[in-house]
Amino acid sequence: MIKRALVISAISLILMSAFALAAGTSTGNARVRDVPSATTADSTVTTCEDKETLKDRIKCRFENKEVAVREAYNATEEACRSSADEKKERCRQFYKNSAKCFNSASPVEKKKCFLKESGININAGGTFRAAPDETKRNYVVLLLYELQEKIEAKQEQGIITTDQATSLVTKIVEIKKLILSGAKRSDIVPKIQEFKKEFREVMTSSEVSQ
Amino acid sequence: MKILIWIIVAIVIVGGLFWFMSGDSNNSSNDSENQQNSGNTDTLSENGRVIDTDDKVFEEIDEALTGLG
Repeated sequence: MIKRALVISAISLILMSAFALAAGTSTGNARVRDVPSATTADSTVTTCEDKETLKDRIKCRFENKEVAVREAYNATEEACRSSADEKKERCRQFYKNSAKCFNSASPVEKKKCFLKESGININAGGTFRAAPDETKRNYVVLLLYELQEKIEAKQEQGIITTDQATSLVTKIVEIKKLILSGAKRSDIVPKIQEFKKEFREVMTSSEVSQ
Repeated sequence: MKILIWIIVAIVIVGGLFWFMSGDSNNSSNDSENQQNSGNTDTLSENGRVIDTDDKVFEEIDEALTGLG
């Protein structure tokens, strides 16, 4: 009798806490987000790092959440990979330091955190436009990462397909690489426009199909 | 004795449900805080845009890129 009661209590507690699971991101950056525990992982896949192309690695991480979580803590963020060593380390630190911004539920606090981590000092009597170019580049990278988080969440919820999410996140990473490499505005803007068009098409189609 | 055990089981289940409910209400509180904060953004940046929708994030990106040398 006592055993039965204990078993029922234990099962209740397990069921209630089963929804919390650490999740990574599709680009090898360490973040923790709540996702449903019933992810469909292919247990034969142990790494996504062996995939040759960026797109394949991102798709692999979408399809294998556990691998993505593990690699998020061990691998370099995709956007930092093609940089030289010193730049790569700065890039990694930037991602690491800004990770806390994404824990903020308030969009106001999140923006403050983005600006601070980007190095834009809006409280020093300066204006956004007067900020150094590098800080603005950092800020755009974080804004793109914010969109990436939304795409990943929608994929996890089944609102958009893995292929759609893979295509969008691949484009984001390519743009982030371009920005961090110091590319000219005229090279970045067309890529952003292309991404924006696809993003809106995907989001509109997902709203229609729901 | 049996009744006592079942009371404990009931407390655990009801306690767990309350725990869940309090999580939801915390989320709701955050949502309303966000809505209140949306109207108070003067100190944030030059134009004070709040990045609470995808469109606003895109607008912010466009503006940041405009200022890029």
